[in-house]
Amino acid sequence: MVIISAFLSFCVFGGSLILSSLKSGLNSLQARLGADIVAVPDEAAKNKDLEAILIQGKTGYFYMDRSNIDNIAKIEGVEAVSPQYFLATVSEGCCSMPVQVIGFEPETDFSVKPWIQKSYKNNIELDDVLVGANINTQVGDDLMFYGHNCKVAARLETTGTELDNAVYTNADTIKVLMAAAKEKGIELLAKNDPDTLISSVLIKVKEGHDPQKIAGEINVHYKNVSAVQTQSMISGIAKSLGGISEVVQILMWVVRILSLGIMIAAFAMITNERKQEFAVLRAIGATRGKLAGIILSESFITGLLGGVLGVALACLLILPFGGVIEQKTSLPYLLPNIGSAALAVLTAIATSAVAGPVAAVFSAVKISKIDTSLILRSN
Amino acid sequence: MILKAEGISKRFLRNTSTSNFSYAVNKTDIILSAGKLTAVIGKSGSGKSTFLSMLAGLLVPTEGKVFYDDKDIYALKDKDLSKLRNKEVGIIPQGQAYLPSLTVLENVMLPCRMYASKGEEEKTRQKALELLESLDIATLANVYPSELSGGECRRLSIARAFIRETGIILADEPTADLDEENTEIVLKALRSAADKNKTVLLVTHEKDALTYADDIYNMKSGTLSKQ
Ligand SMILES: Nc1ncnc2c1ncn2[C@@H]1O[C@H](COP(=O)(O)OP(=O)(O)OP(=O)(O)O)[C@@H](O)[C@H]1O
Ligand SMILES: [Mg+2]
Repeated sequence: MVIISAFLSFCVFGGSLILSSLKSGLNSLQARLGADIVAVPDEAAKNKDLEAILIQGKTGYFYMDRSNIDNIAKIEGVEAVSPQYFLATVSEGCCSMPVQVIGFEPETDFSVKPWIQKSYKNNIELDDVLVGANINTQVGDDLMFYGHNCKVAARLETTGTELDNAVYTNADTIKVLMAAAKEKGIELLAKNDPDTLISSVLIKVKEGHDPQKIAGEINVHYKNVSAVQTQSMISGIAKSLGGISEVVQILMWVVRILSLGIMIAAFAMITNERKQEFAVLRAIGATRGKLAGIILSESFITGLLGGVLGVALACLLILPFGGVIEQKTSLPYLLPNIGSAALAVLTAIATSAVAGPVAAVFSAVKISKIDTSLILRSN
Repeated sequence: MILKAEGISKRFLRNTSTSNFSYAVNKTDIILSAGKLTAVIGKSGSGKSTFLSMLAGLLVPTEGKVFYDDKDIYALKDKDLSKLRNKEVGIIPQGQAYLPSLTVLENVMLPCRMYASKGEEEKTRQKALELLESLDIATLANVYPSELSGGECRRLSIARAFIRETGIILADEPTADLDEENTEIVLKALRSAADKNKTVLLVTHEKDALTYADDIYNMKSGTLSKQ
């Protein structure tokens, strides 16, 4: 009995834990991007991974001329612009998988810096890199990119996205790396001077101006540049999360109803087996109400115990596998803060504790109508 | 305490050749008075247990009334009847009857605990131990009833029926699985309860038992006749 209700709360709590983790991952993403519009080269806008490259740090690169920065900055309603540089690479030093190196201009940046400053307050010097939480190196280690040595200046805090697998550095350093990549024959860089290239421009819009209009303006005036609103990118992710959360929610309801059914049947069976006990109680003076009360309070305790057990089990099983979930859903995954986690724990336990008596109501009513004489007659 | 039954019947649904119900007990009267041990004998299936349950306030008769002194017990609310049962009736059921999660001692103390007033726990425990002693199962006080033999179980039921010192004792074949020595112990206990001015009804097969009885009735297909 305890096991059934443990299973119930395991599913309910586990489900909501995963959902709220995905949601808080998404929130951190939104808060962290900070830009209203991102301008990228036209050919990049056609890439279906664009969103993932821009917000989630998926590996990928594209380039356009840096003159676009000034052009965009001149548009009415643009408050701030800052370029970013992307370079995908394999470093023998740390990682078996390709790493996205993201370069930004500390002087103009408003997107990455606030986050980075939580882990690293100093200036980023030439050849310094900051590594995402999942990159397996220590501060002070050397990392080699395209044959060029960089020094790890800091490790960044976890975001729950693939950004944790990225490496950050300033514009000067990434230009050196891009030059090194050109030497190694990276095709996209071959025709141009790395000094004149950028990958994207992050755009912040002034209060009171419509990001959609500005994006439209950029798209019309600059042939090779495509402007994308971050709002639409994030809501794209949110939509797929919404789909998943619907499925999970439906599954959770199925589990709830199923386990309630099982619990009703199990209580009925157990009560039937204990008929004789209840007959004895009745014979020595227990009222019908008291018999029902015994069943209900026992089922409450059962539910409570099961709830605690199930939640404990869910924590034990789900917490260590955040990474797997993130990979399987390819959605950002970040555990919710203590407050909402505690709320989820309490809700799950309470649900289970209430489900016990609810499932036992049938048995309680039945036992209160027990024909005592029938049972006391003989075995 | 005078226990009086007036024309009580119990009808059960059952398909027979003539109708779709049958009477386990049919329009039966009895008066049991304090200080008397009354015995009821009869073949298996003649309605003895059904009759006893109706007297105990556990089974509502299809017709007729049961009075304790002058109180019509089936006119009472469940709450009041339950309390009355606790206070006035000690039942020794035919089958094995105990709570498996409680020890023998706790099972015996149960009727006192059910409507307990404070500070009586120790007195109850003392009394329960004495009863177990008199029934020769004191050594089993702290074991769980599932370990008991049939006869030991029966003695547990007897101790539990005696502990409240109720005015009425209803015993349904209390000596069924006891040896001669213990049969005598139990019958003597019932006899001495009657001698203490209690109203005692004994349903039995045991011919020996009849020597202890003041009145003897014979039950035959649901009707009583005095012997
Ligand atoms: N709840 C019930 N539903 C249907 N029939 C019943 C019910 N209780 C008793 N009976 C029937 O009523 C009759 C009398 O049963 P009862 O148990 O009173 O017999 P008894 O004299 O105590 O028998 P025994 O000596 O074997 O204990 C039997 O035929 C029994 O099958
Ligand atoms: Mg019987």
